[in-house]
Amino acid sequence: MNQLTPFNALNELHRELSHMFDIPKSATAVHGNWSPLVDISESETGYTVVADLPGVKPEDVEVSLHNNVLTIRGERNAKTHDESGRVRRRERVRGAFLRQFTLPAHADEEGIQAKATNGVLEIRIPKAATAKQVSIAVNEE
Amino acid sequence: MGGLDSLTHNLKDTVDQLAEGWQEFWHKARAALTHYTPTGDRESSSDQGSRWGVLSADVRELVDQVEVHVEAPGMDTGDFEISVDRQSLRIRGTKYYENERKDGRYVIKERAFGSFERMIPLPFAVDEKSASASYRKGVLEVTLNKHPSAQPRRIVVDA
Repeated sequence: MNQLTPFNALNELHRELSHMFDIPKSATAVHGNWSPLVDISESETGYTVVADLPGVKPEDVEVSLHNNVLTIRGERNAKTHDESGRVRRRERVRGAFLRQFTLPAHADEEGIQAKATNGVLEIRIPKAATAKQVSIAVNEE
Repeated sequence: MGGLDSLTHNLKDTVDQLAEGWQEFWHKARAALTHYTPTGDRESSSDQGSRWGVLSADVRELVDQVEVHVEAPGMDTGDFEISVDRQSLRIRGTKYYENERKDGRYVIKERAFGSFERMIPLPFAVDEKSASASYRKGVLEVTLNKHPSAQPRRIVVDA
């Protein structure tokens, strides 16, 4: 998982916002038309991933954990049901979104839970019970 | 090409790409780019969250109304303050840390918290009293009636 390193303000702004738009190659390694912003926190018992997905229906979000890669993908406004009238301003990005993270090996794939509230997706991933620590005595010769 | 030449070349490429990215980003997002001011509580000032967010808005003109959609996830309906001037919509709000469930320490922190304000120009004059707003799935919808002066005039053709 990436560590947040303090950038200068300009770089940070660019990094955080550029992946919300389909800026080609240079800035970020993301796929899809847009990519949600996330907060990830870690505790002793697990990880919490919070992603901003405004306007995305819960049924249009797919969360999966495979080989320790957490994938959040889906589509926004797949069906343009309310596109009547004349568009006078369009800033919201439509279409497919995708974001992936590699979790440490001891994530519990079975225990993952996700829920959406007010356009915010919260994913909780418990850490798997790790093998008991084995202490090895060092003998003095 | 010598080592230094190739290094200089690569550096130039990187700078060019960055500049290109900035330009495109700026073109698309300059209006939506919004600064978040920390609310002053302990959490928001101690954590190194983002100070910038994008409040993307769509404006659509209907026959006698205008519909504005603004992406503002993670808000409570009571934390919006919406005001209408004749031809612009002002949205203020505060996104609180307390609404978050956080475990332990942050590994990645991109989402912005605090108070924000965005002004959205409207394509025509509106009737201030007609404003109605709803909040669903993190998207704020504001509907306003056109001001009588902006309503389409019906011209009766005499027989």
